[in-house]
Amino acid sequence: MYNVSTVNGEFGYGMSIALVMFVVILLLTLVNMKLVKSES
Amino acid sequence: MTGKAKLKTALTGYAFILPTFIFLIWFTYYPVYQALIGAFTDWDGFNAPRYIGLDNFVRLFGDEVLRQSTINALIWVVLSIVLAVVPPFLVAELIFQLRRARAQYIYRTLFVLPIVIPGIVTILLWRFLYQGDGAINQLLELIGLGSLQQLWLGNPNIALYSIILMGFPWISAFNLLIFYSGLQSISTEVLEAARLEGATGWKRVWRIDIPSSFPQLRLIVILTLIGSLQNIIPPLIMTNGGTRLLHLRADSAYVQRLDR
Repeated sequence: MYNVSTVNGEFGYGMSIALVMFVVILLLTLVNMKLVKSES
Repeated sequence: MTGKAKLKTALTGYAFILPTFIFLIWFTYYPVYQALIGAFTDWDGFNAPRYIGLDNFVRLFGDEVLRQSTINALIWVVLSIVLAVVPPFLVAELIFQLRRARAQYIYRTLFVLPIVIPGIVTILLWRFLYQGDGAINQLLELIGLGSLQQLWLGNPNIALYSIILMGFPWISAFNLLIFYSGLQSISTEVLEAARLEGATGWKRVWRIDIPSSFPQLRLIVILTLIGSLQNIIPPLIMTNGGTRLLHLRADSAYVQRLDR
């Protein structure tokens, strides 16, 4: 993401990678929160 | 307090937090909004962005380098979690099983002591060990396994694993202490009951210690997951900054690109 944006100068593409990463991390967080909730 | 006084108090409070909110919105939420909008544009950072719809995402999901780097990151995460959990737990268990409190203290201290060594020193040391004429290859030659000698950081098929497996015997002092504290928190009544029921040795480890350590296990898994996804320093140092695409973590796709 860093290289795509700053080295290649493709900021739009870099931001799309960031967006996909954000969605993936959000899903992982939700799964974790669900697991923690079910345990407690 | 009258309604007017209440309103005045509330407004004063809001006035105090207003600067914080302005900075938060300007430096945190606005960039996120821009990234959200920018993901659908073709923008070089200088000229006006051009809306291109889902083209970036179509390219992203068909990008071979990105696919390979994602696979590498997953391998990195999974192996890191295994190494962050298994060796420290086994050592914590061994220390916990020691009968004498003084022996527990001594071993605990010995395993935790290396935490004072800066991480960068460990990385540089392992880079030295992995060199073509480094200690690992020399040791292999010495014990008659010269055929197994490798360019540990130069071979694209094993470079990733060489970097992940750095730090043998992988006993993280921090994780060791977390597991150890978890084992210590098991009540003596439970341990006594387990002993009376015949749960000793491995049976106790499987039936009592591991299930009791789940909260610690989850904490370590989450911390390792975050840490390994952010971990850019080892590949940067180990490869001498030679991999321009560091996020690939010395993967073969990058090397293939160089060969073209």
